[in-house]
Amino acid sequence: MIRLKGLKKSFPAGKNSFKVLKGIDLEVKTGEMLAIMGRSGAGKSTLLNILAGLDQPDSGEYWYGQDQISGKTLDELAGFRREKIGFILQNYPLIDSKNVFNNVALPLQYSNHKKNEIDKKVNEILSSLDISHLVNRQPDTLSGGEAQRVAIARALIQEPEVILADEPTGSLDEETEHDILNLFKDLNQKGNTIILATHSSQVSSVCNNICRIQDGIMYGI
Amino acid sequence: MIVQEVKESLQRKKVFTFSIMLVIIMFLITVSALFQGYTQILGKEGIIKSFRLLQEYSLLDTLPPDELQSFWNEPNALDRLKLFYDGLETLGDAYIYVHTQPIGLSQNDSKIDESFLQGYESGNPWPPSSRDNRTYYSVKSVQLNAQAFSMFPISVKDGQSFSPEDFHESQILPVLLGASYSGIFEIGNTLTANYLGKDFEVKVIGLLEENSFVVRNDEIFLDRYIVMPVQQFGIPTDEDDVAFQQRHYLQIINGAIYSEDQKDIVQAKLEQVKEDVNFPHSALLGMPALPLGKLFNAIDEMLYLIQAFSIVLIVACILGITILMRKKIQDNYKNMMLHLISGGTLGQLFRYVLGEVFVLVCIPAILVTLVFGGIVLVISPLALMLYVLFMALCAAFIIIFSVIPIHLQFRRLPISQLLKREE
Repeated sequence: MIRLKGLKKSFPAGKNSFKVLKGIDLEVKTGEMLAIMGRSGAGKSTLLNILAGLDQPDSGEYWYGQDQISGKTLDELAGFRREKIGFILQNYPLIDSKNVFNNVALPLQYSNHKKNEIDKKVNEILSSLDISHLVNRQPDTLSGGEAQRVAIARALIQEPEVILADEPTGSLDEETEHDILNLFKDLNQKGNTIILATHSSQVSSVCNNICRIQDGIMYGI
Repeated sequence: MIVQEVKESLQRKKVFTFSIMLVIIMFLITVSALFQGYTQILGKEGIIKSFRLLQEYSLLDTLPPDELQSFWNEPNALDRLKLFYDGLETLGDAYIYVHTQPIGLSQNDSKIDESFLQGYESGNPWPPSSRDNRTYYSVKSVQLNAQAFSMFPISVKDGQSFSPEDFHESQILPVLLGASYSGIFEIGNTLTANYLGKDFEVKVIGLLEENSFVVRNDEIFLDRYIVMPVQQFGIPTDEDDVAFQQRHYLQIINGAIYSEDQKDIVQAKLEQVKEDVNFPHSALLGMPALPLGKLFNAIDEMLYLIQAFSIVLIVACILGITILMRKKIQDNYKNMMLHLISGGTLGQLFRYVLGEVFVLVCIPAILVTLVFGGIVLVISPLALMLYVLFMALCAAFIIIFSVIPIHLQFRRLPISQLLKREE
């Protein structure tokens, strides 16, 4: 489903550049639940950003099925994100000026769905995640676990083929982390491909495949 | 969607939104005041611009009081004087006679307000005088000859202006009243006024626009003045009339020639007239001066200052908005990123910012235009149109130059860097 070949990425650091990814090779199959582990600054987030089409590699190939993603324009990448990818972030899962409904509805608005269609889909996804009661709440009134569930609802609203999650339980307590990981497992069992970036062995333990990034190189486990 | 995003962003930080709008309102009020000043100055310049290229040659009669009687004893003295005045009016250059001249306005029924009296501005209004059971108030008046009247396009608010016939002797002397006379006298009123010792029936034919002015060395605002035409008179009817015409003509030959020519040429023309009519008692006074030179310099300086001040204000406003908007964008990175992962593009995010700047600038611009539009309309409908156009340009200018740096920031900002800023 996803194939990376010799993927390299560096960022400017003063007059020099800092090489974050030094030639990543990776293959992710449909329905796989993969944990990408590594220490802070190892390049996990950068890799996830490239997989999400938020960033482009300096060199190397990124294939999504038969479609080469590397080399697409920013607008094409936005379309790719809308159709294929659900992205969950760690520390800032929701837009603070929108209520839960509008946060979850955002990807549908970018896909130009009609209002009644948006209403139906949002209510369905909130219901399936048992958070219908939060629909009119503002983000600052939610607990960490509730906010992360809403973020997952937003990531799932477009029924993406792949869910990317960057440290999805990093700021949650143990019990909430457990709930969220069970939710990921359920989604995976329903056929979603899930890629988690984490430094937690507890998170990686729920995945069926694990790989590690160290010094910009990917190592399989 | 853009409307919703702009609305949310504006509501998200209400204090910021209010502050930036306040800054823009203050800026626009200041430039509106500058515009008003600029328009008024240009209006004044427009009125007197015909003097820009001319030099002023003041004329002075050379008849000292002790020689005056011997001059009047000469044959045809008054006729020669009249011919000399005719010669000045047909010299080929403009002969301008603008003279502030108190006239005695006879009013038995009501009292004239002190502000209309001669000497009021210097704190010493002339007291009324009585003669033949009539009370005369020495009110301020300005005499204009036909050429002076044509050079200053004095606008009449009500009634009619002077016609060429009004500058020739008539049974009733037509006058125009300054705007402050509104409600005191009405158009068509006939009054008695004493000019140079002779009573005239004067008829009010028009009321001037507020702030009408003529210029002689300095501006003379006509609001509290009676404007009289310099009339030319025929054969005197009696001895008193002879004496009056002598005083009148001897006074009105002390005007000024406005010419583009050098002094020697103007001098030659004057000498020719003097010789033709046998009236040697007039001379050019001193060196030619640029008429209204001080006024033009002041106008130029004011216009320059207004332009410079406006530019500084606009630059400061643009800088302020740009800095504030960039700060807001930086505060908004988190939300922008969530838009991106939801399928938004940088282009769409930039359009939200553009929409926000548009609203932040346009609402104050519309408010200020509505308030100041009424004030500017008083100047003229054309000034109002120019003002609306000016405000639209100001708003467009602020929007464009505020957004350009933000656009550059967006173009230079890879999404990964955007994400890194929050990590």
